[in-house]
Amino acid sequence: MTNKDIFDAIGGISDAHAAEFAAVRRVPIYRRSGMISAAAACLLLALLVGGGSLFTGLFEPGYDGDGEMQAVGDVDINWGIWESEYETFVSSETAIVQEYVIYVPTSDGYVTYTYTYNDTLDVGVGVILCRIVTLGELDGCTMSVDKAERTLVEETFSDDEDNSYVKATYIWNVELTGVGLDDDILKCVVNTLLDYQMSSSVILTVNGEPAVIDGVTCPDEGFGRFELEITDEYEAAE
Amino acid sequence: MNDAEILKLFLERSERAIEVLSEKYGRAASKLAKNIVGDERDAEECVNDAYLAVWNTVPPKEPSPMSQYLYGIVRNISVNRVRYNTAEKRGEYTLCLDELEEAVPSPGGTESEFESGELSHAIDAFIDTLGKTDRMIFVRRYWYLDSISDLSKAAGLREGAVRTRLSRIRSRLKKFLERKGEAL
Repeated sequence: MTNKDIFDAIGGISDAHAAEFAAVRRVPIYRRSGMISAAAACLLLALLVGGGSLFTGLFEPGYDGDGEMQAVGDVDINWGIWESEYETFVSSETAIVQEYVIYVPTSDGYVTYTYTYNDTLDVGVGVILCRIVTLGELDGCTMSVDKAERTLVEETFSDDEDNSYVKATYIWNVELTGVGLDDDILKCVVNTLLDYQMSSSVILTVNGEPAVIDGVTCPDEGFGRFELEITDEYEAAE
Repeated sequence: MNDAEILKLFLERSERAIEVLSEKYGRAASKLAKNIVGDERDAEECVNDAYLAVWNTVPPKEPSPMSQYLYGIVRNISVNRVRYNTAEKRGEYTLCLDELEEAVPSPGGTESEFESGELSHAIDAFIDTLGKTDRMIFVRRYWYLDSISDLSKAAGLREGAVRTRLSRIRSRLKKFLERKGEAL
């Protein structure tokens, strides 16, 4: 067997495997159809000028720039929504500070959202919250994430001798407050949460009440996936 | 226009079929061909040859999804183009082949040879063992021949992290194929 044999055999894998990531370049974003509202456009401009954004609730500023920072390694980022970079640092005061940068591609390049948060948030929760808040910003909402917990339902490891990690399944319990949180944006939030690893359900509270989407109150077992339009409005410029 | 409607145009032998196929999947097909042959003009010829091949084979074939049928033909034609191209280019195809040396089972470790098609099935089974990010990296690198840089952006990982992951995946693939070979 040669490398060429393997290369040719990879060309013969099932359509299901080959097609799964065929459209990877489109950087799909779940959002409502139509153009960005005027308010969102102003916000984007402000972010471009200001160079970033910090949010209330769990997104209190956690790092003041002092202290020697040490990278502690790459972290597995959930695939498929935004191009993103992620860094975890340990400050000299030993407080864990996490910085997450989201690049939202636009026709002119990228809008960059930078989030910094600290202490008890675990990596996966932090990452997904950044995405949710960015999603809200893009749609002109004012959103604060007041609570975000995920409960591990199941972890799967490979059967081989490496016994390496394959996937985890979570149930999310998230509380949001804000204005402009309509059905469309809440569907996006639910789908974004479900996209994280193999999350099985989402329990969502909005402004202190169980979320109501399309007239249906969030049931105990959480929402299922919503079929949303995937726009290529933000398709990355090649 | 969805795949079923495109297929209908082919079955009706409508001249619009290739035009619509090109509009919908042409960009991705061109990118795939360019990844492999490394040259715009060669890539364009490969894609045009692929359109002709689709035209000549549909019907009787009725592929679904149409995209993957086209991409598969583009990949084969482009790889053949490179293999018969005497120019010394170090494109992604050559780099991928070099990398896949690491996945070749050790001589003597696997006495049995895979029959035609079995190796693809084995690799399918291997892909099923990978997490989503690794699956994406592996398929995009060795099926679509994406560059490390493109993969880095797509996965949200540093280029070094992508290389490390690919190296681990190749190592696991090698072990996987050795075990599969022993079982034959």
